Amino acid sequence: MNRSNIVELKNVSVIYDTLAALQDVNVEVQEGEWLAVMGPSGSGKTTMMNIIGCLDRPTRGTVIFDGEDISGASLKTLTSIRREKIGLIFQQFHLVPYLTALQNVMLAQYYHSLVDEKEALKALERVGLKDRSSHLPKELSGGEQQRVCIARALINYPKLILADEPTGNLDETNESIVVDIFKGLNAEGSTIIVVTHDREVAQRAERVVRLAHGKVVTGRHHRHHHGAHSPQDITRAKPNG
Amino acid sequence: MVALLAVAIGATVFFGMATVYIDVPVRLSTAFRAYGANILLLSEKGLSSEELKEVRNFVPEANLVGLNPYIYKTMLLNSHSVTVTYTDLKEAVLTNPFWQIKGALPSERGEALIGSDLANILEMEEGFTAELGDINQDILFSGVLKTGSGGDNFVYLDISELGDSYLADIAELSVSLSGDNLEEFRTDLTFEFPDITPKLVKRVVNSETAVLKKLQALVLFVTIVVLSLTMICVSTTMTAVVLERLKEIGLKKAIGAESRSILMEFFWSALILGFFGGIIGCFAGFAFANFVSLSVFSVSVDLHLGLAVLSVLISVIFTVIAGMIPVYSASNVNPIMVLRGE
Repeated sequence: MNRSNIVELKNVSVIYDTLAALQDVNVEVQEGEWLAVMGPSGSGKTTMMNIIGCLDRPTRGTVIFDGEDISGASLKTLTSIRREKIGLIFQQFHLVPYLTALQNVMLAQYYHSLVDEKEALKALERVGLKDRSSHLPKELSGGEQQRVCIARALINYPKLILADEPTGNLDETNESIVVDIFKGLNAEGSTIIVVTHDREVAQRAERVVRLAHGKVVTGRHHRHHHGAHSPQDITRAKPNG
Repeated sequence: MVALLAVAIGATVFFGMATVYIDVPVRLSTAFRAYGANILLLSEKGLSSEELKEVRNFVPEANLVGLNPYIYKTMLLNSHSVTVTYTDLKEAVLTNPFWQIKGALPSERGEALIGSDLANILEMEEGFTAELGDINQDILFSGVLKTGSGGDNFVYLDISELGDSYLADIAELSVSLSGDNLEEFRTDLTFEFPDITPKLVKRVVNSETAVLKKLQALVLFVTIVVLSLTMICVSTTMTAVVLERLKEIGLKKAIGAESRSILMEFFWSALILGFFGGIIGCFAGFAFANFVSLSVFSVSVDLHLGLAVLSVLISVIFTVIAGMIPVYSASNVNPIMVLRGE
């Protein structure tokens, strides 16, 4: 099965003053793929996520998102891509404290198009939180807050779900719930990129890209996963140098 | 809630102080009338009773404190030569609230007041009768009058003793006007009654104007200082409120909100906040101004609707400005920095 690339990073470098957070990184992510990005602190994971998530622009190199070269795109264009095509999930959840779970989900609808309560409730149901829809974030556990965050990321049917350490603040039970949700979403065809420290979370992904010192060191493919790719797929993340 | 309180306090200070600022001249002008008439009416040919009636009708009822004619005659009282003053005694006590009468005002013909100094010289007091030479009539002094001036050597008879028609030497007019309004009124009088020369009682008018100006300047100064401090407080509170919501702004930007949407959201919040804060401030400010006026002048203040609208408007404008400056910088933040807590 031939799937088109949703993201392509070609020789991407991000340099802050004299520090290179990413150096000549080449990564391709196909539609419907579940990719885990791993690496120690300071390896450039978050920088890579920011580039893929249209939160930042590269210093050098080319970024293709959904077929469009966004390397030098304006902030306005990047904002519009985030709004239309990306669902972001954060380690710290970042829910608005004075809005209920349902309203937090509807917030993403508000900036995207029109708010639809039924649709938002459906998204909460999908993450198993329909009964908690009227609760404020402080009345929810960490796992539940993360699931609200996932529902918010899903609500506009994004082309890409991008999660930054989504299980970083969760216990094992909740970690398992969240990973199962990702698995379900991926099975339904969602493209998911998860930046994680957690080996177990990474192992559930279809493919792992490892970063060290701002460079891709390996791109390993988990054959146990559904929709296995041909061996050459492994080369889609090319180790530098 | 804190922001609403800050805005409401700001509006209270503005509305309250502005009300006091506007009402002080009116209240003081009335209070100053206790120091006597502020206009003297003179005429070369004398002031007829008909003319004075017309003058009385010309003065707006709300501003008229008193109008009384004076006719001076020299007569013999128990063989002493004294000045007898015919005046409208009931009006005179209104025009000269500082007059002190021991006894009572004359209530019938043949009754009079005697000045306190004259009473001392003649060793008389209220209830005494004496012969008033020129009119060959015994009069009863119903009271002894202390004016605190040369008038204490006079005898006072009510002008009704002269009948309905008379020609007064001079008249005193007391109106509750001050400053430019008083000057304007005097000009109107001159225009309306060309035969009458209205003169402002410089001693009273000047001191009144000086005190009023100083008091208004003081109220204005205090208002500006308090208002400036309140504005700084409102602005700081709004900045704190925006900073508190910086993460929320970052999140909204991350999930695709345009800077403009965020600015508009805060704009409407600030507008609503300023509007309700302003309305609360008007009520509280009115209560504050009323309290000040009741404590100082024992009179409640009038509600100035225009000022209330201005207060709400200022409160809205200021809240929007104070709120939008920090929001403008916040709406340009990099969502990555904010979400990472940097």
